[in-house]
Amino acid sequence: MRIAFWLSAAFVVYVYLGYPVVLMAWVRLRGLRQRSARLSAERPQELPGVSIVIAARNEARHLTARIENLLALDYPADRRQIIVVSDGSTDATVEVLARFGDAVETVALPHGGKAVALNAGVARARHEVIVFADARQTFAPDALRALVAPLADPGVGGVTGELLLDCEAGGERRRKDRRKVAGAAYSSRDRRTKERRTLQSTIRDGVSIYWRYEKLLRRLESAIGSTVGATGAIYALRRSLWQPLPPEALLDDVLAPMRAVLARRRMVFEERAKAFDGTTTGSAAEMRRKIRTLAGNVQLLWLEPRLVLPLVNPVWLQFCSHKLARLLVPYALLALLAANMALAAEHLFYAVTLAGQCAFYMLGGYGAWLEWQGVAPVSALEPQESRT
Amino acid sequence: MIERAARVAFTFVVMNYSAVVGLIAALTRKKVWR
Repeated sequence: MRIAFWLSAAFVVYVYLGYPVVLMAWVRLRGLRQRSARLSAERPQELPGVSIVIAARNEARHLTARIENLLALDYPADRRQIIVVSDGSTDATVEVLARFGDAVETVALPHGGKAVALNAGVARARHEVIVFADARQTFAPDALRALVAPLADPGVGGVTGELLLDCEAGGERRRKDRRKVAGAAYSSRDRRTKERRTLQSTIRDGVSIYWRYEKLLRRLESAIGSTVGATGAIYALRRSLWQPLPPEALLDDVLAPMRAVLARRRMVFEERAKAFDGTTTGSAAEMRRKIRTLAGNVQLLWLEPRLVLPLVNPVWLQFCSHKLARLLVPYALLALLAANMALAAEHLFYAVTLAGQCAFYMLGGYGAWLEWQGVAPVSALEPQESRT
Repeated sequence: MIERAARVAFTFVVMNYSAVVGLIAALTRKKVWR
């Protein structure tokens, strides 16, 4: 029982704390820095041609802003192609895109899933670099230039940008501003609204912390070689490294980059290439997104089994620690709790750790209660993706 | 402070619950959103 306790505890601690520490030590020991050469922003003739591919399903309400954002980017128009694939949309997606004329190439397909839509979009691409984006997020004006800069290094096969959630930066500021304004005329109705807003932030804050942690891992992984996957909202890949996705693929933004890594090209994280997104509005949507992501991680094992071979996958340790081990953590947690309950009567130490575990789960229950108090109806929650 | 810790703990539990459901969904080839 003691062995089960300590093995489970060591596993959970390694996955969430040990692995980042290993990465930090690795970076420090080898003194590695981002090796990519930069293309000069002053010399647009050196910028590669980019084809931006967006798969959209019933995104009419987001697409006007999205296309306007892409057209306004600081990038030569003659080196930029925008392709939007409508994946069987039943709303006005195609009509909205038609308003942009030749600036956007629209591909209308029957519903076949995101992977099929991306395959069709890439098939239409005429430039050497493919940039993948989603309909909902927006790019910073210089995001495209920053995103393609590391590709000046021929060893780099792809680049993932940084997705900033609303609650990470501006969101916090906006919430404070709202409180300030509300404080001036504070009625009971305002108080009710404010309380609801505050409570709605429960899952947002958790997501924000989790996402910052994920980006730390990505930064460290990039510094020692390659990230394990990319951010679906903003990543670039050399067209030569693209292989059509299986129609059932759930995580295009992990599968496509990992195939580039298996082809011995690096996938790097460029934090100057920024995209912006709001946080999921509730735990139901966030849970749906996580289920899809984690199911996608399992699916990767049969879509690309070479990933588990240490001699074939150059980032085997990172892949196992970052992606696979996460799938096993819940079982380790259950084993840890069961072993701890069995050991609690043996020694004070185990009684204390059991109390600690119970306190943690009670805290989680309190978090669930906070979320339940402020959550919007599930039907109003919108499925979101892009953060894998 | 307590509320912030509660949010983190809740997110951690949600993530691990999702890992179990995600594994089952993948193994049974159940359609998961999109």
